Amino acid sequence: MKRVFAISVLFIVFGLGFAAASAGKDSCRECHLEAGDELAAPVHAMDTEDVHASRGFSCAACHGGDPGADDQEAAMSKARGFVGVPKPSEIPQFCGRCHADPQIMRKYSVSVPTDQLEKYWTSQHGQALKGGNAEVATCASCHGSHAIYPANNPKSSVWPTNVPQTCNHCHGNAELMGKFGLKPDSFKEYSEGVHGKALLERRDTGAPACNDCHGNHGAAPPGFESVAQVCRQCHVNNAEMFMASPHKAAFDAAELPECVACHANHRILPPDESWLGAVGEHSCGQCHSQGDRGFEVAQQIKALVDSLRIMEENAVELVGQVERRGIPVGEVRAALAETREALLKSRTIIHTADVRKVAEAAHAGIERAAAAQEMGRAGLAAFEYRKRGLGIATIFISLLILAIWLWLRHLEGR
Amino acid sequence: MDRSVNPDSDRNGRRKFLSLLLGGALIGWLGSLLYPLARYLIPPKIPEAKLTTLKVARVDEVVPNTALMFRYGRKPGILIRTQEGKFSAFSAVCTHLDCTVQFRSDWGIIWCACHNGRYDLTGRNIAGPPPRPLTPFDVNIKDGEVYVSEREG
Amino acid sequence: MGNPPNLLAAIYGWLNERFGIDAAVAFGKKKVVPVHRESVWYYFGGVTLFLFIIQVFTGILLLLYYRPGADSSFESLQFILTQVEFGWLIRSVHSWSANLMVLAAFIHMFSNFFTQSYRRPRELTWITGMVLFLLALGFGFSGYLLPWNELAFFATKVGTDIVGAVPIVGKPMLIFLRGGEDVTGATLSRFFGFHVAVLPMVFTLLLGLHVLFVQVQGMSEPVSHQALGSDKKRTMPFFPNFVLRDVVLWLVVLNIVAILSVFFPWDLGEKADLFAPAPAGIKPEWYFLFMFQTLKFIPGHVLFLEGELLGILVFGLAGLLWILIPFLDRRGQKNQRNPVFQLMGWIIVAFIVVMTIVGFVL
Repeated sequence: MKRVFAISVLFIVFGLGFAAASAGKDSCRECHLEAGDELAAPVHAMDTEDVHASRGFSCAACHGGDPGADDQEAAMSKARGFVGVPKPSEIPQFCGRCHADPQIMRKYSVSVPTDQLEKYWTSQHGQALKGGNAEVATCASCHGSHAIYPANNPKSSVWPTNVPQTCNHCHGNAELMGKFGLKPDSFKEYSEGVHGKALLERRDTGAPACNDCHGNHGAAPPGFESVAQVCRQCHVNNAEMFMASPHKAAFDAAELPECVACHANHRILPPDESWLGAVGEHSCGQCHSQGDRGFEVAQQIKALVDSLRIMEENAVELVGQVERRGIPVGEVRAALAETREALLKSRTIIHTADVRKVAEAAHAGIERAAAAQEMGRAGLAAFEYRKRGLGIATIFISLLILAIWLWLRHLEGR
Repeated sequence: MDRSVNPDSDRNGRRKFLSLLLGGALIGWLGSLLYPLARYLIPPKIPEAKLTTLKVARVDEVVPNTALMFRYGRKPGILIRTQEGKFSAFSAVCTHLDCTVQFRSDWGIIWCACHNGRYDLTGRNIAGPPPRPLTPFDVNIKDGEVYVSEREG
Repeated sequence: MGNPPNLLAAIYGWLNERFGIDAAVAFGKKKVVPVHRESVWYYFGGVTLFLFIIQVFTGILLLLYYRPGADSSFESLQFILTQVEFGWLIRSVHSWSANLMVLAAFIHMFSNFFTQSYRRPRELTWITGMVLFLLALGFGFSGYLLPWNELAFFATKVGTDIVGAVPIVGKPMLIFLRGGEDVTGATLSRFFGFHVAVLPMVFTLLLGLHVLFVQVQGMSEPVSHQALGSDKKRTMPFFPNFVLRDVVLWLVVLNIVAILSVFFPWDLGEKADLFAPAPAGIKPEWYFLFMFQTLKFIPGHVLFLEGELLGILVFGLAGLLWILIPFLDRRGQKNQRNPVFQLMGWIIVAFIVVMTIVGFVL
């Protein structure tokens, strides 16, 4: 009887112990919270909308150990699987234990990709890490470790408008970048360019952040032969026209980075007509010199686009004058919009480096601009008509005033 | 009264001249007043303020799997006829940065060349930067003509 | 003498038999206008009236094409400006004439103040005149919203916000004016009703009284002229001398309105967008500007009162006292000049002018 009793008690105690453990006892949380300050910080972080916490993962799921044990040594014993804080060089595998395993990830989200680790090893960060340099970005550098938001949450460090700042944590550090022979001013340049202004100031998530051109997990600068393919994601016509033009082969042979050769990579500014033609620091004259075919073509293209631009400017100026005189300009504005579109089209077609194609687009635009100017002149004529009418009315009023005045004088016998 | 010798004849003469001047000026002035008034009162050719319904094309003018660009008020519009022959019309102003979209029969979508924005044939934005679908128009077919109007409500 | 005079005489005779017009004609022939240094100001009442007539006329013309409603006000105005022949002219005349009418009313009011025309027995003429003045400002405020463009929308919002700041009655008044809590299409409907029906009716009634009083009592004479002996007082007959001069001035004013309409036409602006933020530097029309600018200068809090409230109360009190001037000017009641009131008047004029200029410049 006594033995039965003892065994039952043991069972009950162990049972209670197991129950306690499986009933959500988390000694990691409890102790760390009690410890306060730095040690409590990860717990507080997990209490936000952290993506792991929201799916029921707690400390032990990643760090190992025994959350059911109250004793620190027991809870954090290697024997019970405690891994502790992974070293930077260990982090990719640490996260990859689950995130690179489709069968595990499928339990939580069927559509989430699982190739991040594989891509990471191909990236500049991954390659450096493999080579023994741990001063590069790992998973936690960009995603955080405890308060990790899913990428589609605007609070996430990898939400599109936050990405540039996230990359800038390291890529803006001059000392760190110096070690890799990189410049620390990419973020500054990017925010001065059109993409940066669109994304950071206008919050236009259609504009690319760092990862849209460099990749996120497989982050690397595109090779000079693939630049146009990267820009092609959005700038389809410009890229395809370039790739079909003689410039593609020429640039690749000269190891020039395609689009970036003229447009820069980070500090991309709105191009203007001074880039065409043969003169100027941004122009075709940088490579082409007097006598070669390209020089001629450059001049012809510049002449075409310039004449369209000048006609457009004149039309806009004229319409402005008409509008200031109070003549309605609704119809003309439509013609002006068409002219502007033609100008944009011409400026895109220059990427073909084909004079005939540019001429076709430019002439269509010039015709629209001429139509707009015609309407503008009609508007000015309408104003002249108004002035003439006013003149006639004023003459009659003046005559009437004169007549009455004379009659008054006549009446008052002077 | 013998007017010819009377010094008052001067006054009478002046009076006549003044009456003439007054009458003439008055008529001229009234004319310059009534002319614009009369033109104003005659209703203009387009009698209604709002150009809500526009006749865009004849049904047989629009081949299936093609589109027709048209002007609705001051803005561009696009009329699409699908492979199956159904008509739909949208404002052709891209919801990203206001470029004019075009129909790509090879891809079966509406495309914006500026930044590779794409819309399906119901106008919904399916890829690229556009944040919203294209504004749809109502299409009505009557007597073999295609009419496009602004959607009510 | 040809046929036309006979015809006129015949018509006159026919009407006279039935309505006794002879008496009115006799009255008209007797009517005289005093001639003195200040008599040039007599014309301004007529100019205000003429401009009002232009407003009624062009307003009715606009009514033929204008359609009130958040979806149609702007569009119908655009239609008038672009499709209707001379629509631009009728519209610009209406807008310019409105502004000139308020200006003429200011001049008419102040000239009467400085010549103390409100003296006994003309107190009611002054009071009806003041109410007419306020109604004219109401016409301006309600009419300004009708194009339903950005400027109009925000000017109305700011203006009715200020009304809402009046203690106790302010909020109910604001809701009454706006047809709700915010400025919406309901406000547009109301303002349209006020502008084309309510205000014209009340204005016409009061105008009738105002003009009747002047006819019955004759033109007021400044104190200095009144003191002269009747042999020293120069006068001119109302018909035809004063009337013809009036007509000449009216024709000049008409021509000025036409010139302004051609060279400085009013534009359409952008359609009101209820959800857009207010454009920077929103200002009311010039005749409200001096009050608006003053309110902006008053600090946020003065003692225990909110600055805006203090401003409103001060202006309200000032307006009330101004209306009661006939009863406050003791010396005037005794037909004496009142240098203190004259000085006060000049200070007020200077204040209005300076504040209006400041309002434009800042």
